[in-house]
Amino acid sequence: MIPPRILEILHMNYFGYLCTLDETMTPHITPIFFVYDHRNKMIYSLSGENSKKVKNIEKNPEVSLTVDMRHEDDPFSNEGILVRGRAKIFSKEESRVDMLPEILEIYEVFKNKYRKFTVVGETSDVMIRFEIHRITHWIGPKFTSIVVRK
Amino acid sequence: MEHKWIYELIVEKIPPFSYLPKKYVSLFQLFIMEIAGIVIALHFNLPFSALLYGSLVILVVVLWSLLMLKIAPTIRSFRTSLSEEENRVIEEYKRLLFHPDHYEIVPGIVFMAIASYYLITNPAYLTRFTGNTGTLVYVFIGLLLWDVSYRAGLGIWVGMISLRRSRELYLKSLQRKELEHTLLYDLNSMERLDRSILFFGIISFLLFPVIISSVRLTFLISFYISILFTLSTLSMYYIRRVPWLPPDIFDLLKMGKFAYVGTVESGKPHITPVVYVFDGRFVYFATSRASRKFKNIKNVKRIAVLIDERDPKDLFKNKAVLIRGEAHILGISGLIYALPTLIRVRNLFMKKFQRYMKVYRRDKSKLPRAWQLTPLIRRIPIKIKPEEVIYWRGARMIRIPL
Repeated sequence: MIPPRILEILHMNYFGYLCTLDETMTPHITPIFFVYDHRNKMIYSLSGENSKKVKNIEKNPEVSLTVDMRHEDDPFSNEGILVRGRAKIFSKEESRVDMLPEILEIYEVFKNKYRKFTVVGETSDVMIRFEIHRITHWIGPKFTSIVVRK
Repeated sequence: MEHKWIYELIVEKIPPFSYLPKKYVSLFQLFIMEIAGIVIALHFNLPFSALLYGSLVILVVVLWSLLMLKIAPTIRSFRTSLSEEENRVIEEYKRLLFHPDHYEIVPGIVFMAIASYYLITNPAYLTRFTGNTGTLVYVFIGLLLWDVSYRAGLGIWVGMISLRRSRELYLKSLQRKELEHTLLYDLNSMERLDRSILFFGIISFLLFPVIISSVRLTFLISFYISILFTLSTLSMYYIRRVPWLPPDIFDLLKMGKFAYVGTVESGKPHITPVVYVFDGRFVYFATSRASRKFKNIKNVKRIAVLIDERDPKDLFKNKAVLIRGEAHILGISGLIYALPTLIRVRNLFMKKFQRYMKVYRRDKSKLPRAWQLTPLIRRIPIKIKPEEVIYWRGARMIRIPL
């Protein structure tokens, strides 16, 4: 069960920060657009196929993502989540037929969420599907952790 | 074409030096000078003390030679700066130091002239060491004197030209635009070079036992050492103020408050937001000893830090900088060395996060242990040593060379 507050954070925020590891075990971070699909508890993001994060995920699928609301004045109001999980890359060409409806649907969700910012998907060749394993939620100094998948 | 100093040319072109691997050249030089000294001392029945004093001078010559052979390739290795103006400064610096007309020997000749004049007008100074002996002894002393003068001159020459370079680089760096900058590793080498000049001065202290009997020589050498110290510390002062990042990123790091820190947690990535400060050279954040990221960093030093600026209206005006490299824990172990840094970092935090600090002080009792700001005991500052910098301006990704 993902608590409603965490769902709210996943749905209401436009930016996430995705961390991957390269072959030298050095972390790499990029800001990403993402959407969350509550039916299968997956996070989706789009990317160029030659991006560093896609290359990293192909070698090491472990990823973590943080989504947070910053507060300039009051550290006790800082709130955010850290999502840990495993990612998978789907390119348009190699998508299996049974995946296609899922991919097309996610594209639609993307377009809706980011409509006011940009045209989604034009430079994005691949879709990153990110299976959630664990979520840590914090408000100020209070942390709670939940396991979504083992 | 690559120009070299005369001493380098001798070492490279003239046998037997040219046959030796570079790292043994100075050792070999020490060896033959020492042998020559001993032979002459025995032949002319010089007192044992003369041998000791002579050996000390030879040691200074050899140590200086070692430094010269280390400094010269560093200077030649500087790469093209990404600021046209600053690149001109670096090119001019190389050109003056390795001028085909060998300007570098001019101070050496001046030193040699002063020293020779002194020795000729005060013959008693030398005879105190050697007694009345043959010409060969004086020839050897003359050679040694030239060796000392040439290197001492070179030291001051490099020191002067380096100070000029640092000052001009600093002044030019104030007028940078957008992505212009001089490369980090080169700036670091320049600072190391200035430290070498300082070391050059320290080596001169070894000459004191030989010259202490002469007030005037003691004064001259002391003056020489203090000039080297001044030149090198001033040069370091300026070069440390030259930003290794282009102004676009520099401003972003100065203005930003939050950073995302990526670390390695048993083979998996971990990412959390932090508040950070930037002192013009490095990014620092503080973390609790109890935190996940502190444990991660203790195990694996690899780290990434992302700092961004979001434009709420136009995504294509978003900026972000990603710094990847190594995390350094500024803990109690290196306290004395890191103390000035710790104080600077603390002040930066106090200034940048005044409101945060106020809340921390007001609600001290409510704070969990991990947030209590007992510096160094619970909150540990972490410094990020950059190895790779990537900058995004809108959709454009730019790799910033270091």
